[in-house]
Amino acid sequence: MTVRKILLVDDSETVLLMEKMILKRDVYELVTAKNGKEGIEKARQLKPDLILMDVVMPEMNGFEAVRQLREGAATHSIPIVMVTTQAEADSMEAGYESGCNDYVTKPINSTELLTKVRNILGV
Amino acid sequence: MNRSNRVTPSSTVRKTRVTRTKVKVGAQAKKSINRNLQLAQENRRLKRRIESLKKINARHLKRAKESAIAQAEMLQRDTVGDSFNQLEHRDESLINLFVAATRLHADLDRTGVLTAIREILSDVVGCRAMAILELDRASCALAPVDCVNVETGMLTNLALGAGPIGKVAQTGAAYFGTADDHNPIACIPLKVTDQITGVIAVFGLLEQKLELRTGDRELLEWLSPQAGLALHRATIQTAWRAANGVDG
Repeated sequence: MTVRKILLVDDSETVLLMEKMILKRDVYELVTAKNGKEGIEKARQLKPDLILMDVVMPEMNGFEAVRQLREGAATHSIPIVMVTTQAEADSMEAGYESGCNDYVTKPINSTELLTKVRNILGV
Repeated sequence: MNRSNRVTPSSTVRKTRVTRTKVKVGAQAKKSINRNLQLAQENRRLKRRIESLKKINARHLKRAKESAIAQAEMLQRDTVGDSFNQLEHRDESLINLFVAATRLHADLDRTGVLTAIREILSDVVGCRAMAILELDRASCALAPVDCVNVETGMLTNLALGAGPIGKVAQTGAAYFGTADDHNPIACIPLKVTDQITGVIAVFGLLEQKLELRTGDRELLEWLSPQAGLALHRATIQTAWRAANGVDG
């Protein structure tokens, strides 16, 4: 059975730890990155099955990282879920315009995150 | 010969009497038979009615039974659903607790611990505006050491007992209230054993977070001694390193 790979991109150690704890309920290979730039590098290198992307990060924010991933040949089709503190419509609109597939808001609800991940990965 | 003298033979009289009686009896019998026929008909009609009512009753009973079964199943589903929801909430609370504990005690550096406290408040609880204040024992006043989306000016040199923050620092009892322009929605004392070393004040929540839930309050109260100890230990560690020229 192929183990799905998920790339977690966030500058908050706490959020990364929380995402790992939640996703531990299923069997995934989890890889982390601390900002958008590192996230793009790891996505190109590892070609994950899904990316969870924070929005506000140093060096490169999540929206810009998603745009660049969508332009890359190797990464343009990887599903991306934005993880955002901003629930406003504008922020979500910006997320979809940049090319993300879905979003979850912080603080992260474990059931919501698991359900969305499972739906996207077809688990 | 007159009529009164005419003699009717007794046999004729007898015959006439018998005939009359027979006619009488016949009429009565006919009446009785008709009556019996009517009663029998009525009987049959009533029997049919009874059968019909029995069938209707049986249908009602069946429906009532099915309804009772459906209600019992729904009640069981609700109970199971409620139990499942409770388990989910409990599971989420445990994850939050584990994450908070791991983050708080992962760093020996004061800056790292302050970052961990800030992240726990924003990423786990959902706070948008907050401040961490420490108590200066000499001046008995609180001063902010870390603020997010809060003007530090209004928090400088807060006296013990002044406002909700000062009262929490004085009494050591957590405060939960409603947000307004100047007052926080939650104040948690930072403690090292029984000694109060500071206060965490929450001034606002993220837009999508409508209120502090029971699980959030429990986590904040748990944070009181844990964050207090972690910060105290990190402060000592950082000072020791600085004094001894030790890096990292």
